[in-house]
Amino acid sequence: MIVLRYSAMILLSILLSGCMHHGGDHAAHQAMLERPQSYTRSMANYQIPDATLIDQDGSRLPLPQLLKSSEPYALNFIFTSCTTICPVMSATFFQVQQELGAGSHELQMISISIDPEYDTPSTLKKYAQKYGAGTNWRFLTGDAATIAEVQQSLAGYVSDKMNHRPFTLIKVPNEEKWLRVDGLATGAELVAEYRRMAGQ
Amino acid sequence: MSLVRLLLPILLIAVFGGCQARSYVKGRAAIESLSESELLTIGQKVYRDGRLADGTPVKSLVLGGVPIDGTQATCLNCHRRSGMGGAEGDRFVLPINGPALFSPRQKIYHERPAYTEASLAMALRKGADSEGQIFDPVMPVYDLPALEMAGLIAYLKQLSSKDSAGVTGESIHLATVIGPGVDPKISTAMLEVLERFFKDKNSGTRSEIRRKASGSFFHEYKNKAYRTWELHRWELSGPATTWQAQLEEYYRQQPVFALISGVIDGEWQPIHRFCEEQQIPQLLPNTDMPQVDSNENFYTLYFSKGLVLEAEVLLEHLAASSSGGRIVQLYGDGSDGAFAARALRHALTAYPQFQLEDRLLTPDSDNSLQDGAEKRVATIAWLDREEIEFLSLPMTTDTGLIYLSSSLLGGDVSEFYGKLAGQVFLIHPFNQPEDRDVRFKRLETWLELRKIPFTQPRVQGQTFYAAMILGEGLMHIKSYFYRDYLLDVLDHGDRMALYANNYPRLSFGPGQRYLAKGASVVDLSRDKDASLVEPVVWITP
Repeated sequence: MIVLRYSAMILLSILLSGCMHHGGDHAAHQAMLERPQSYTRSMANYQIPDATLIDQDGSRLPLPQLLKSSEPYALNFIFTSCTTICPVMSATFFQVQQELGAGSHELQMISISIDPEYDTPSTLKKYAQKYGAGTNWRFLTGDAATIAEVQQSLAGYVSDKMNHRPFTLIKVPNEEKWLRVDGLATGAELVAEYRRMAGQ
Repeated sequence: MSLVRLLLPILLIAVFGGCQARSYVKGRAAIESLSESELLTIGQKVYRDGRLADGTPVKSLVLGGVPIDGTQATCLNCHRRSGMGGAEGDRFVLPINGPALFSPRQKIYHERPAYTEASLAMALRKGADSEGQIFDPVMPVYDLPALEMAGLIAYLKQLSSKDSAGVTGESIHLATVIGPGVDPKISTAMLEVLERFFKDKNSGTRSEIRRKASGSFFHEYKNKAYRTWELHRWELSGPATTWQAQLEEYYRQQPVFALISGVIDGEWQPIHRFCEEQQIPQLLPNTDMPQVDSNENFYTLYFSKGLVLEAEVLLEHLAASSSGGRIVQLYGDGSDGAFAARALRHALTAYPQFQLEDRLLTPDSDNSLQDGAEKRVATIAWLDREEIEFLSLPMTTDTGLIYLSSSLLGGDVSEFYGKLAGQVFLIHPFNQPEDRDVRFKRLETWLELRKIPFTQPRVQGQTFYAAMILGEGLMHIKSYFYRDYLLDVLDHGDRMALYANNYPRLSFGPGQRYLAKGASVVDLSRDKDASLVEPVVWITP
């Protein structure tokens, strides 16, 4: 799988770079092959707080109800004005969507804003459109204290949003624990992790 | 036959190669025919918007293979407007301004030689530098055609490549704007805080001047950055239509690096526009009438949207309890009341269930709140302390819900708490009275030590905070005196939110130019002893 992934990366790099040749190519490819895995995985237990959040359409959603559903889901924390990490995480969720097939409802995806004051439902709606979110990808916000509580209970709290770190949580029915993917995994990797969790 | 076999590939190569060479030559000729400014426009479009010259998004891949639309992964996104980069979470975003790219990098991070145009183009396409060092996986690779690549490289070459005006080897020049007709108590309170803050800053109590001349080499990067702060008063006169020319003249006489604080009687729009045009940062002016409908707002950092925020909060609150109906808004003949009334009318376009009527309130008009007409769902009083005296109290249920503006009433609004009968709400973007003392403690002590009377909590608090933010920003830009960089570093200013004195919550973020995003709605009819100071609700519209 890893070999395949890196082969794909190299192929895409070559395609993108056209027919240019340069002495640094070989070294670049070698370094890319040697790149360590960009994420770590662990299993964790979390207590879901009795909090109510608001989605991009303004609907109020009790979190325990949302997260105890019988459907598998992937969850991350983002904020719409984030400059570096969140655009990548959102592009990754879009890729998950694509990997599973357009219109697939196999996996629910949830992105919770850690900048609730700025990320109002209408701001999140624009962001969702920008990243091509389908109906199974929901964006949540809420009041500042509730969001902090949710972050704390999912071991993702940072006092300054600019210090946030990328991670994704994956939960499947009939499994008490969550899979925590720390770092920046690609969409294909997230799908593979989810399928492994789900025993597919 | 064998000759054909032999010649055909050669022929094909020749034809194909010829086509390529011709298209390359044609491409180069097209690029060379462009003027420098045309090339920079193309480059800026790639850098800031992630779009090609024809407007289509640049194609890019991130994490070694995840497709990401160029508009979602612009250069500006991570490296920011100044190109000076920054840090987010565990990621360092390296500077990509002209001096950084086109000189060798040593000491920090990966060493590399200076980029050439060719090696930079290669790096952007391949995701690795000329030494073969792979970039962080969050740095995308870009599929840029020759024209856009040439434009981007030209843009990067000039990006943050020389100090902005307003800085000399010894000083950094800053100005504060004071408009005509401002209550002297307000302008004096502001100037006292600013002048004293500057004086303290320039007193060199931490040996900054000595260290600049002969400090240790490993702290040179910050010691050399030390400048004395020079404050210029830009006092305006006459009608607002003439201010632009006055500001330009002040700037011509003495260019400044940034504008700090400031106060005018009226809308901030003329100063806002001047700052956008001249590309001058304006930090935290004392205004309730900011420009909010502009597409272009990079240079002015406001405390909040002021009365526009209040209007939006008010309507959201009203819409939660009323299905629709008639609203009457009262305002006096001052510029702020009229501004608020306009803001409400504008915000009302999102609430078609309400019908709005305006009433200008003067000492001579019939100022009873009832008008005998159809019952209303709300009465909005955009009135200051003097104007509110004209109102005939008590208010009755015929008026519907009554809303007052804390910004317009000014001063200590706690006197209104629990005093008004009927359903009266105060839109209050500031701290609740019980938090006020704690939040102002730092400022009060600072003023007391300098024997400055604490007479105007709001303007003194805001001005002190603006000066602190300026200090924070200048400390972080070190010797890189680029104005855009000052604003870029303040995007990371969330830790400064803790020191806010007037506002319960300020939040900084990339590109966020209005720090306070919400306001509380206080039910003034609740009994003071029954913890009435609890806001009814906090609304972020």
